[in-house]
Amino acid sequence: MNEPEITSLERVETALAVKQADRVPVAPMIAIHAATIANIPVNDLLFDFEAAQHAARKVFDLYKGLDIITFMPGIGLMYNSPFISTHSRFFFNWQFGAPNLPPQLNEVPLMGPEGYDKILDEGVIPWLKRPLDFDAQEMLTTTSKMKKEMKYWLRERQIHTFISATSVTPFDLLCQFRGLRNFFVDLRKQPEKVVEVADFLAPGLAALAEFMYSEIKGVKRIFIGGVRGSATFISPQMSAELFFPSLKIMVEYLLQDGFQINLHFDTDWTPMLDFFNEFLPARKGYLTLQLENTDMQKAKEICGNNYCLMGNVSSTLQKMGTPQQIEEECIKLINIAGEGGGFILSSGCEVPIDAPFTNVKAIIDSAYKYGIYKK
Amino acid sequence: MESLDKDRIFRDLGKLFYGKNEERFSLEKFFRSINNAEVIEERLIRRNTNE
Repeated sequence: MNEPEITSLERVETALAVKQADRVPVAPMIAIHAATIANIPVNDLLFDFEAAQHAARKVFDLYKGLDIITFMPGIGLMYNSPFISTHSRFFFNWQFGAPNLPPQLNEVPLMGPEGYDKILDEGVIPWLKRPLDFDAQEMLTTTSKMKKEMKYWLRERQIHTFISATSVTPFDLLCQFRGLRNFFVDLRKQPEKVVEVADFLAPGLAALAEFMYSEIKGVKRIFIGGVRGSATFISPQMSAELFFPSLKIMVEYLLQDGFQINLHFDTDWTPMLDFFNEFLPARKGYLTLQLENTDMQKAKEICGNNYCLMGNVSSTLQKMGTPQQIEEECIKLINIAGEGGGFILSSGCEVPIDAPFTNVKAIIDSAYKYGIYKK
Repeated sequence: MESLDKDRIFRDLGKLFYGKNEERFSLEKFFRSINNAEVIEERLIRRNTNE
């Protein structure tokens, strides 16, 4: 690795602006995997700020060459916050315990069909529960420490911190409230009600992300997770009618306030790629599509003019493959999506907790070997 | 909140948490809601466990 001409921060910002830097930035999305690298229990990574802080530095130093630090100490706030998200243990039945496993969601239906009107009338508070061991002061202290950590990576290390707050699409949130099977029946039996409530939730979820940003600061960039509006679950027509309208409300809300958005969309969105152009505003430099099982070639063709693309080395390969196989996949991705810039080489979703070190390192090294842009 | 529209954010947070008739979110009310919420034991964070 030669001395870079520009900083990682500049390289990433250039890619996010859908422009070409000196090389393809590389940032496999390391979160829970950090526990393996730092050899600490998962719950320490999530809920012991100092242990997670140490893990972040270890990940960065061992995996030399990362352009983004994709998890922050304080990542446990996703689970340990009463502000609603799909990961909040105040609303959903997350189980913590096994030292070497990520938290597990026991997804059970939390509301019946009458719940949609209840959300309109009473909001989400009726579903709020207080875990016995919740300590509000600890949550506030962690938030404050996280704010300082953001400054450390951005100012002292000149490394991009990826996002400052996370949110979820209203569609995914409702699905989690209602339970997968019930929700998909609702999509047939009462689609208008689902859309009405999703539209109702959208401004609040965007506002919540902005509120969290105001507490943490850092990069003005919001992560929106989406899964269940994809072709893995529903038809393109249903996605257009039932999923994208409320996403559009959220995206417009955040763009109006000057936020960049990382659309972290797992599973397969290939048949829906046109909708990202049709429904969402064309704001080059503000939107990233982080894709998991979506066809990256089609994503580049259809969305590459407006969106920075991020992804999507196969999780299976990261866990089960060899460094050679990963290198071959990275070369393919760089050739497909790296053309002209606007691409960050990454995993689709998180790096598997037990992916071998050499496999993750192979992703990083591939960007340095094969991702150089010719001047 | 920098240049963000604080009024709009708190208005929309109010509706998200308390429904369409809520005019404005307040942290004071929210923390009261947390304190009044049903206490549950099954979502504990088990620290330093090697079970």
